[in-house]
Order: sequence, then structure tokens, then C-alpha cells
Amino acid sequence: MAEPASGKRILYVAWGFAPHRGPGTYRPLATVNVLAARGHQVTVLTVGTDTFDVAVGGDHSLLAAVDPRVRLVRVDVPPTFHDPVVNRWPAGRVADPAWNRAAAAIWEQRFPDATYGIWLAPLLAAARQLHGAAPFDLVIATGNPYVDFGVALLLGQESGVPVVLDDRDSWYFNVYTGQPAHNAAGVRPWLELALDVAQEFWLVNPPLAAIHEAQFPGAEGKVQVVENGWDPRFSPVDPAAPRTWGGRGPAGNGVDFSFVGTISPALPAQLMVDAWAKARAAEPSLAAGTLRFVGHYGYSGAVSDRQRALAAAAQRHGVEFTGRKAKSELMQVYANTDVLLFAKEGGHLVTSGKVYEYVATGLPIVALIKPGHDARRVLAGYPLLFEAAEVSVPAVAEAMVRAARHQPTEAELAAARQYGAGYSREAIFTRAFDRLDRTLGWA
Amino acid sequence: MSGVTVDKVRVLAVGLTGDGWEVPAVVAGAACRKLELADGSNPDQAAAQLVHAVVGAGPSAGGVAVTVAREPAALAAVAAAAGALDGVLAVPHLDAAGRLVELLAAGRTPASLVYPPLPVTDVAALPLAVVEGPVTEGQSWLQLGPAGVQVAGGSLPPLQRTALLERAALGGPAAGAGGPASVDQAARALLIGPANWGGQGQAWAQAVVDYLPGWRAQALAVVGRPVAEFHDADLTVQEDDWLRPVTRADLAWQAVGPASHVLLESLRPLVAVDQAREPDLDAPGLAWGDIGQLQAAGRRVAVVLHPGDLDRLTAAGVAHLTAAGLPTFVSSPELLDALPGAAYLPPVLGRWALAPAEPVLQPGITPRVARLLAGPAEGPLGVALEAGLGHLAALGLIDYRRWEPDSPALAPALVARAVRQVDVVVDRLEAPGLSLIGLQALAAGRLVLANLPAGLARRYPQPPPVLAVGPGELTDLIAEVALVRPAYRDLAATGPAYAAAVHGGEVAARVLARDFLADPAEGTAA
Repeated sequence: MAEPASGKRILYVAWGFAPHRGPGTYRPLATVNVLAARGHQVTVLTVGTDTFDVAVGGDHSLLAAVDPRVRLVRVDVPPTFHDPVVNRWPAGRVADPAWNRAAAAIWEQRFPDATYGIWLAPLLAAARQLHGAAPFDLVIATGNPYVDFGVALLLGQESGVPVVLDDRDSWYFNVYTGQPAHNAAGVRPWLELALDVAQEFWLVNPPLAAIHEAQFPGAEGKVQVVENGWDPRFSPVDPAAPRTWGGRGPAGNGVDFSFVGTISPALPAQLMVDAWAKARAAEPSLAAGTLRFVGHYGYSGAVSDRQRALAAAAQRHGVEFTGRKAKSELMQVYANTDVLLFAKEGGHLVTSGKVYEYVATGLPIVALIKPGHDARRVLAGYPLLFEAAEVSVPAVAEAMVRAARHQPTEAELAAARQYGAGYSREAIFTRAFDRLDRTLGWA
Repeated sequence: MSGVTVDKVRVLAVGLTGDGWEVPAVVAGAACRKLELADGSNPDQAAAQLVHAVVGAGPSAGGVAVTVAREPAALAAVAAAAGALDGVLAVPHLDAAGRLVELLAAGRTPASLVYPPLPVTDVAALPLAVVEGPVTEGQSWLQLGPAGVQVAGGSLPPLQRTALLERAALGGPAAGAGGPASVDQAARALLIGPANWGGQGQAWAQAVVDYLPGWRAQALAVVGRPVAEFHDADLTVQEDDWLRPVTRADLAWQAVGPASHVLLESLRPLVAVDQAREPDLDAPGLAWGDIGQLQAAGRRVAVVLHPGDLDRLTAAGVAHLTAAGLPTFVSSPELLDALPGAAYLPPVLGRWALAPAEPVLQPGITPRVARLLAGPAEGPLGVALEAGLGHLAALGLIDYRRWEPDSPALAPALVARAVRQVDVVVDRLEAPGLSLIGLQALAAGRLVLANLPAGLARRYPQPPPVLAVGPGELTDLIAEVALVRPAYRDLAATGPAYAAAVHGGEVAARVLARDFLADPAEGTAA
């Protein structure tokens, strides 16, 4: 294989870059670090830290994860729609709770990214200045927000610099329904431009790639799958740590299960609890064990009355809701778990980020997923998968019992970890950038 | 700068029930207190009650009050208190209060949190001085001197005044060594704004940089609503932000001050030196205040008018402009009828607009014809054109599409792609002229039909190679184009060379140099 290209000047456009603390912050971080490790000169164009410190929340510890060779250029832009500082709100906004929605609809005419499109002008002006001072060899942008795509596309269109767009969600489709998103009519001409201008258009799973190729004639040859994978920087397991099986609970004979992920309203949490209760009746090691739900409640973090009632009622079945744990605390969660429980809403266009972290652990996984859900593709070859035959209480309980009764051998655990290693971000991005080297004629 | 300590920050949660609100630890540490507003109190009473509570709790002790409210009446009260008092911040939820408390404790001042300076990176700021005292009759609140910018701070809302005082302390004349700077005419710095009509402010600025050695140029866009015609610029300011005096003082200090030459678009104000509160961006009179100040401060000023501006300016306004003797440009030649002393400043098309495209009117392909609609509601002419072209489409002679003016597919960045997907573009025929989209279609080698009488065509540096058409002739002419293609294909093929020659930027730069940027003493711009 050819040596990877190096020494190229690369602009990476990411509104949501560290210290942004949202789930979308990790893939950009991994991308620029892989590029820096390949010897490229990487400039990240992002917004000023006030956007995170004042408006949307940030975590400055994430900055320590950025390769020190990466240059960060921050553009201070008014947060506008996300602005919590009432002092500078226009008078009409104080008086009218619908101000945001009405103003965003107007801005969306300009660029199909309702509340983020407002950043396009200042980010683009900065990108032009940077490119004018010392031209880039490549611009990569990651969405959402898709204002990042706008910057890369316009700079690419104006200057001819090659462009790669990394769509971590879907600009055009609602990934949960597979239908065009609410603003698809506005997005379509931009996506067509993107597929004209960009050298590659990345999507996170094969079904998304297929649906783009089917509906956008220009997509063929441009669309590439670059999966999410799991991030070794936030490795869910310490491979060197010895693993024990079971032996938990007061009597020392329990097997513990964990669900790790967002406890959204769409998660079948009640079904999972009921299945667990049924499985405990059939299997003593589960009766002595605990099922933990580790994660943020809902999308906003607010606990609904229904969730509160479920958590209270489930206690008697040995179910514990721990709330959100920091990424750094998850390693401990996985270390204290015998079996992982996987469930994810959505369908064939959704893979979930969590499934990659799950396979990275090498732990047995009980999965309840609907037929056609893309997580099934990642789990299909996993050596320690215990899949429920259907999403029902008896079927999930049966899979739980099966997993509890199968103490994995060292060889099985090693094989599972090896399978997971193929989905590390490092491995995925190395493959992606090797291919991009060839696309751009750099190899 | 040392921060306020958390014990000097008071958080007042106004009118909240408390249920379902998790109080962040940092807020609890900052003496969070609930303030219940009296039932039935109107917003003025509520604000007064709040101001009383704030004064007792925070600023009078040298601290800061962060007020939290989310219900409309409480929000109005905290907004009023924040507008009336220095050191009062208002937010709609406790999470944000927590973030502000952390930043205050880390050393940020309230003014720097609320009014951070504009992100202008490419200009050397002149000194800023903030003087106390209100503006008197006939006096500007903001003055552009040859050596710096002076703001009458007494006219400003308290926190905005504080923000400017902090800037002045950091970079103003008091901090400068070696006396005040002065605007350097030899600096050759052009500022164009604030309309950025069709993106031309930015495009002309780039042309000046590209073709006039030694010149710097920047474009400023004040973006109002609606924004469908929004084009980005070196410095883009939203109208809601521009209305705040502190933003306009920043503009004066950082963007307008360092310019030796200002090309004012559409007779709109850049900083509205005569209006310390919220000015009307459309009021033509305000621009004259800025022009007077700029000239008094040694800057050279010119004006450029765009299509549509004459509808906004009165005849008296045009007469005023003519009498003022400023160099005047128009971005479309039909405006020369009203402004005979002006010069045509050709719009500049970007590299992507001039990129090669497939030839048009290929054999075996039904000609694709697009008509640019004049507006959302068409007049009788539009209805007639629609009927004629619809008839040709029904006969299978053409593949016809209407281009609505606010179509997402015609966003500025998408026009170059849209025109490449058709063979023929019918420009707006309602009034004589050639639109920017028509120009872009020419640049892409499309056949353009436009209402461009010979007399008007001669006012371009070269006559644009359009197919001139009177409104009554369109249907017959399109039918002829569809049936007899080669001659029209040849005409369309000349468009790119015309666009490159006239709209590539060099001509515009030379027009600006000749009529505006040239040093009168030297007679040269470069």
C-alpha cells in the first residue's frame, strides 16, 4: 500500500468543536487528530468559546484531547437564536415567545439550517481570509449543523479547493422515518450543489449511502461510508484489566446487566424491565443480579413523571437508574458489568453510536432490535451476541437467561474484542483517508 | 482583570415556581434567591420591584446580579432592569445563570459578557474615546475624528457605556504611546457598505484588492429582514445587533475609522452618527450625517446606487445627491437616466460564475427555457408571458420552468448551478435592464432574452450579447429559437467572453480608480 500523504494544508470546519460537549463533538475531534497524526497541517475553523461558555454549554477538559499540532481558529459570532443573555435581545423577542421561530424561518430562506445558518457569513469570511493568506489543499466540513457544509461549499466553489463533506446525521432525510426532512425542499438544491462540488460526501452507514444514491443522481461515486466507530481516546474497557464473571450481589451469585445510553421516550424501558423481571424468575443468577440503566433521561435531561414512576416501581426487581455518567466514568460501568443490554429506537437508517462502544467492550450483548435496524449489521458478526428473537417480553427474557447461563471463555472474550477493534475510529478513519489520498491523487 | 467573587454575585430567580428546576451548584453558591412578583402587577410595577431588589442585592455592594425569568411578564421585568442598571444580567433559565456566574467568577466583566467587541480581525483600530455627558441638540453622539472615534457615553444605556469604556481603557488614546494616531490617506483602505446588494459590495472590494496594487478593501453588510437576498461580506452585522449603539460604535472604531475611502451603498447609514438609540436603517437622511462626519474627518466618500434605490429616495433626495457633488456610481445603467453625472460600476461575477459550461441548444434536446418572475404576484404582462410560454411547452417545443424570485434554488450561491441547467433564460421584461441573474446566465453561455433597448445596451462598456426582446415579441422569438438553433447557439457562446471582459473585476476596479480612488494630486490610484 502507498504511503499516506502528509504535509497538506487542511481546513476543517466544525461549529461543534471542543469545548462543545454535545455528542457530535467526538467524531470531529477524532478526525482532526488522525489528520494531524498523518502529518497534515490542520486548521479547525470553529466558533468562539463564548458560544459554548455562555450560550450552549461547554466542557473545556475536551480541549486537552485535541492534538497540539492542530491550529484552532475561533470566530466570535453572535449566538442569536441560542442566546440566553436577555440584555441584548431585540425588544420584540422579549415580548413574543414565538420570536425565535419566526426569525429562524426567515433565516432558513438564506440557508437551510434554521438556527445555525446565521453563522454562515462570519465563518465564510474567516475561511476566505485564511485561504487568501495561505491556500488550503483540502476543506473538510462536518454536519450537523450544516452551516459547516455551507462554508466549505462556498469556499470550494469560489476557489476550487477540494471539498469533503462529512454528514454525521442526514441533511436531507429524517433518519428515523426515512422520509425527506421537514426542510428537504430547501436542502435539495444545496445537496445537489454539494454533490457537484465535493470530492467525497461521507455518510455513517450503508443504508444512508444507498438512499442518497437512489435519490440523487450525482451521488454515485461521491458518497462514501465512514462509520462512526468507537473512540480509543475514550476506550470503554481496559484490555489489561482482568475480567471476572458473575459473583455479584449479596449472596455472591449474581450476574449484572447494564444498559448504557440515552433513556429517550422512545426506548422500550418498560418492556426491558418487565423482561428482566421475568428472566429473574427463571434464572437465580439474575435474581441475585442488578440491571442498571446508565444514561441521560430524555433528550433534555428532564425526568418525566412516567420515567420517575418506572424507576420507582422497578427497584423491587433489582433495577437501578443511575442517571448520566461522564465519558470518563463509563469505563468503570463496563468493568462492573457482566452483560450489556442493547436497544435503540429508529430503523434501517440508524446505527447508533453506542453499538460501536458495545462491541468494543468484548462483553456479551443481549440485543432487542427491530428487524432492519442498522445496528443489527454491526452486531451480526459479533461472537457474543444473544439476540432476542423478537422485541417482546418473553423473547427478551429468554435471551437474557441464555446470556446469563453462558459464561464466556477467554477465547470468546478475545474474539469479541478483536471484532470490536475493527470498528475503532482510528481504523475507520485510516481506511477513509487512505482512500481519500487516492481520490485526490495524493497517494 | 480580576473577577467578582461568587459571593458578590446575587442570583434572583424571578417569578419562578421552583418545581422542576434544578439549581446548579454554582448558582446555589451565589446566593440564589427567589423573588415572587406581586400577583397582578403590571410589567412596569414588576420591573420597579425587581430594580429595587437588585439594587439591594447586588450592584450597590460592588457585585453583579444575575436575574432569571422565563414567564413573559417576569422576562419583561428582568429585561427592563437589565436595560436600566449597570451590572445586571438577565437570562431565561438557571443553566445559563450558572454559566454566567462561573464566567464572572473567572474574571469576565458583565459588559464583556454581554457586549463582546465585533470580530474584526483585518483592520487596525483607531483610538476610541468615551466621553461622559449627553448629546445636545445638533450634536452627534458619535464622532469620527481624523485621529480616532469619540462617543458621547452619557447618551448610551448603562451597560453599553461600560462596555465601550472597557474597550477605550484597553486600546484607546489613554493607553496609546506616542500620541494619537491619524487616518493615513496613504493607507489606501476602502470600505464598501452597508447594503452589499447582490453581493457586489464584497465583489467590488475583492476586485480592488485584485487589480489595484497597494489597496486594501473590505465590505460591510448590515443584514436586515427578509434575508433572501443575503450575501456574505467581510463583516456581516445583523440589523438587530446594528441597532444597538455599542455595535455601531464598534463599527465606527474598528471598520469605518481605519478606512481612507468609503463607498456608501444605497444612501444607507453606516453608523448613524445622529442617532444614539435605535435608528431607522431605511431613512435616507441618516446617511447624510455619516457622510458629513466622514468628510470632516478627512475621509473621501462616494455613493453607489442600486436598482430599486430610486423608489426609496425621493426626487429631493436625488437632487441632494446630485448637488453634493460626491462621486456617484450606479450598479445598473438604467439608473443613469436619473443620475446623468454618475458612472456605471459593473457588477463583478465570481470565478464559479465564469467557469465553463456545456453549450446550449444542443440538437435532439428540447430547449430548456426558464423565465425569471418579477415578483410573487405577476401583473398582466407576466400573465401573458406565462400563457405564451405555456402554449409552447404544451406543443412540446420547449421544456419550460418558472423561476420564482424567492425559490430556494435561486439562493445566490446556487444561481450559477441553476443557470447551467437550462438553455435559455428569460430575464424580467417588466422594465428595461439586465438582472444579476441574467448576467450570470450570460457568463455561463446561456441564451439570455432581456428587455434591453439599444440605447441602454450602449451604456455598458460593451453591449451585452443578449437577445433583446419587447414584451409582445417573446413567444414568437422563443419559438424561433427552438426551431432555428445554430444562430442563437452562436450568440449564447459569446456570453462568457463578454462577462469575463466586463464583469471579471478589472473594469470595476478601473472605474473606481478613475472616478474615486485616484489621488487628485497624483491622478492615479495605484
